[in-house]
Amino acid sequence: MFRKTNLFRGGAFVFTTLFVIGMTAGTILETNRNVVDGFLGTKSYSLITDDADELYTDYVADYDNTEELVNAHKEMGEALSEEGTVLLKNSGILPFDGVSKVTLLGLRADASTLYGATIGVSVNAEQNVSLTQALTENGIEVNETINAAYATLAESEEYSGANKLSPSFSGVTVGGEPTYTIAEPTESELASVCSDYKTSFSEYGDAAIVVVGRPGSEAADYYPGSTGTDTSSGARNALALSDDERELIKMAEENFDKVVVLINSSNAMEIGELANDEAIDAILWIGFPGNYGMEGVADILTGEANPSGSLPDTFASDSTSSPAMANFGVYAYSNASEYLDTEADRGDYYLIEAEGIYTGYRYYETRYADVIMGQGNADSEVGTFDSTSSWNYDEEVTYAFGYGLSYTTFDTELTSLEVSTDNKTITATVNVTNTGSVAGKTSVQLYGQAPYIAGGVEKSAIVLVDFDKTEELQPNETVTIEITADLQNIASYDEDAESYILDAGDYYFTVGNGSHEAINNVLAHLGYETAGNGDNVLTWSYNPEGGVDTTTFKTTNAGTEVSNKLQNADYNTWVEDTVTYLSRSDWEGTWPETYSDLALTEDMLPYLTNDFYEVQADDDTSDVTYEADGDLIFANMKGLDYDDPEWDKLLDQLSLQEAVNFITIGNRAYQNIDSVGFIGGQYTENGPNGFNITLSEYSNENSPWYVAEDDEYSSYTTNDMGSAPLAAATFNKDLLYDYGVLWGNDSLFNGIPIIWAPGLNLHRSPYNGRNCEYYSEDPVLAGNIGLSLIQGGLTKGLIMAPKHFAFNDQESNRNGVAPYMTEQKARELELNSFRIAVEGGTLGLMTSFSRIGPTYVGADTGLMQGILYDEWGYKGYVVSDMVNPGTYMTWKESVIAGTTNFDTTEPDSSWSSYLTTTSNSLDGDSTMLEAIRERVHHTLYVFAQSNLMNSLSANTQRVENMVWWRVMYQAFRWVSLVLGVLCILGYTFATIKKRKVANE
Amino acid sequence: MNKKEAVKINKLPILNIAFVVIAIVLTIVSSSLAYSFANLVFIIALSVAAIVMNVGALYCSRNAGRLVIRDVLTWVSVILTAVALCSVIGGRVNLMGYVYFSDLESNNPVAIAAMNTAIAAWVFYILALVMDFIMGFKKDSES
Repeated sequence: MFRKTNLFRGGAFVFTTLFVIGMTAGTILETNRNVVDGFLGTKSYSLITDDADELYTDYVADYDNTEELVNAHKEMGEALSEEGTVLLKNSGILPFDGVSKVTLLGLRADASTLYGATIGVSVNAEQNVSLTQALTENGIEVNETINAAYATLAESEEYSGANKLSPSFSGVTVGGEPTYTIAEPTESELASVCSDYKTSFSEYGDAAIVVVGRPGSEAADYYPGSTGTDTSSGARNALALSDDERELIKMAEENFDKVVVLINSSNAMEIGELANDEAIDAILWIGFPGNYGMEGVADILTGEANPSGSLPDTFASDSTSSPAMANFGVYAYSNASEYLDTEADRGDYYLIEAEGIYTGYRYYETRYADVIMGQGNADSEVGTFDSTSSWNYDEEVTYAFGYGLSYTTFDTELTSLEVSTDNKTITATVNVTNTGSVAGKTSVQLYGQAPYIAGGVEKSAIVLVDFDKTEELQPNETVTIEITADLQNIASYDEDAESYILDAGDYYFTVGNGSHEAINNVLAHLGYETAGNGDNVLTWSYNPEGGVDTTTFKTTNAGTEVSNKLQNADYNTWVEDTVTYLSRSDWEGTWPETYSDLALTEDMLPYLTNDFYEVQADDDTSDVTYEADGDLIFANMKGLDYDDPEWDKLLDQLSLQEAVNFITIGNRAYQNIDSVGFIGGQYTENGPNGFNITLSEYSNENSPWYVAEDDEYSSYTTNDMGSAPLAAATFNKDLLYDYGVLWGNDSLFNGIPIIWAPGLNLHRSPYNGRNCEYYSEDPVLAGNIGLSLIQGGLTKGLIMAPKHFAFNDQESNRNGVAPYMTEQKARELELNSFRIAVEGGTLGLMTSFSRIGPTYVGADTGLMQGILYDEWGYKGYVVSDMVNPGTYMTWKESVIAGTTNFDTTEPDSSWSSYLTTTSNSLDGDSTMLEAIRERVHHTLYVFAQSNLMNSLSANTQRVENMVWWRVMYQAFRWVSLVLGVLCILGYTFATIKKRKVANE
Repeated sequence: MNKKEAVKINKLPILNIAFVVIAIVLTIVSSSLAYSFANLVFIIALSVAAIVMNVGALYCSRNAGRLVIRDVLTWVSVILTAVALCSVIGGRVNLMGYVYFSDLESNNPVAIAAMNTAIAAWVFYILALVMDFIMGFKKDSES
């Protein structure tokens, strides 16, 4: 027997190891069960209700089955592109007449079309409808010879990665190789895979459709000049054309009489040379069209649809010459290494937004106006992309914000203005007449100019105040559009007055096909010689007492007084007189320098090291109740107001440990709260362009809209639409509302009541790789388009949580980068987009990875509690972005500030002391105890307004399913344990026996 | 039976220790490249404890009377090494998804290097465990 000692010993070692591995595997699988379920197609839990027949009555789907739902998606995808695609240039060849055979040119024309982004707004490639397919459906034959040649090249090593803007999820650093290679096959490369490809041109020679584009991605940025791309390719910048692309266009011009160029990019490309090229007959911006957008593009090309999109961004000749680009990229504090742990603190990097409020058209049109008016050295050399002696709008801007052509023409006349008695809104009446020969729609863009006083508060010369879109108008048909706009959109934030202000003077309002036409109208009205129509301007003369109105917007709609909340966001607050912000009073003298060697100060350290709230041990906590007796359960709270007293009773029942777990493990799968009967589950999915899951993945079997595994569309993914800029380019709130309703229907089918979407950040510059997730450079357009989507979703009980609140102004070093800016800029630009959405009823938000000034955004009390909750009256929930790496997303400071949940399945170990010893650590801190309770209140309140309540009744229970992977790891674990124990016992007995024998 | 019977010193514990040391170094390198291990100190502590156990086992193996103690120490070493291995695996689960199963980090050489270095660390932890297993199954050679 004793000879087997070694077998038992070895067996004990092996099975002990296998048991440890089994335990770990179980933990990993259970922690990531949502991913595992999604990947393996399993359902590891179910909600079971006895009286299921009485459920699913609060929110009802508009479709009976998945086929109807998918068809609705196809129609919406086509409609978004029909209304969002922007006709930039047309010599008259569009719509096609007498064109039946075409050739598609360019790597992205068919083989490598950019339907979505690399990360973020990616789409399911299997669902794509290509331009070739869409044109064929519309009766146009496409040259398959050249398509095949591009397809061969697309699979080659050189071009297979052409659609990727190299992302780095952990952050982006610049240095070494350029971050993007412009990939476009040359004629010789085409010939190498298809020697006689040009012979096919004659057969398909009615027109050439050339596609050029640039990818987009989360976790990646473009960079200017040689940092961003190999400039020996002939491209000034990554967003400009390369010699290979020029060669492609030249080939089209030499071989075809009709040449159309499609711009397949969500980032505004630098395409001045295409606009000026007379051999190019037409240019269409198509954004990222999603799975079905090419149907809409084909409809426009063939005339089945009339383009009505308007640009959501300014297309500059060279965007790198804008003031925002003076500070874009990677800048580390000069003394960071002395004070900070780069990985743990994530505080090394900053960004000085010295351009102030002048981004996008606010810069280009204001500078243009000042050039015309001879004001502020506007015509100086600074900011000219080719270093000409004076700044000239026509050289700097190719297509203005809001610009777009149609196959018909419209006469848009501003006929009346009426300001409300409280001076908070203005109602504009606009007559729109179709003066052309075909039916069409058009956006109605209402712009305004506030009086600017040199040296006073900075003001853009023109701002979009609100917008609408007509229905389809027949030739000669006139419609009257009434727009009631929020005058806060034209007010300015004055940090001295600590309020939004309206200066005394004349406020000019006009309508126009884009921001440039609008400013030209105003300038013409003022007597300057421009191409504008001065008669299409109406004036509101405002003469408040004292020359400035500081009271109208001093009190918010929520009844809170506005005051400065973001002074720490200004670097000058920390080190006086360091940053000079751009002012239109002196463009040349205040032009931003690149702030690349600033130092951090010791005052910043608590924020940069993410530790500035000390948990108290000895507060009087008698007013904060936990673990009270009670029999209320969450299912009883359906639809209750946030302030309903029942919530207090429910929250009294919470245990502190449950509450902390609920907040800190707040990923897509939520934790149980047994004391109030909240059943945890997979209730959230990521956007921002629709649900990033299949229809069946989490569908609830109790639901009338349950999608079974064997459903024809069970593996269909509904994140199938065009990217955010394309949606914004529709300028159509009604369409976006319907789009939101469709997402709401998706939610009822797939069983997920919350989606982290849409993206409401602004395009500070075209070089942010993530612009494809965000609507526009303008907050009024972004905020209203996003709000319409959100409101549509709410009709079906879908809670949308727009992201990323706030200041995701670049992806470079996004984990903890510290943007510094004036409070005026923060409030008038990005925060205005979020304000519009929040005041319109948004119930969810996701915070960004970044800081505001030195403080992580989710932990910034001024931003979160001060502005979001107090000024805007927010009642919803706020989830952090992914906690990865998350130590800088300091949880106690964030909970105090207003973050309600953290996007993680497993809190960082630096938090664990608060998780594992919660009662010891937090019991004596009344502020923290109250905050934790309140954060749970917000999240449960949001769930109570959602279609989750469709599936719950008082007797609903969560049942864990013994899915096969769970059986596997548990069997592995316990068999290993049993065998390990047997081996240890065997070893013990054998050893004892061995000793007995030896002793005998 | 002579309890102080000498036992031939085995090379396996020394190899085991060497492998664990290499694994520690690789883990630290991986952590410093990207996606630092939140529980790096814990992993190092486990690994060092495993080494100490093996040193103890090595000492005990010189004396036939302490073979049971040697086996217990080696068994504890196995547990510590296995937990360390699992901690390094657990700390790289997300990164593995980013690098190998998505586009999130598939083009980021630093993240790929961090992942590959962690895999190398796994290999050395596993080799260390294999040394323990061989020691376990090997008959005690008595002289």
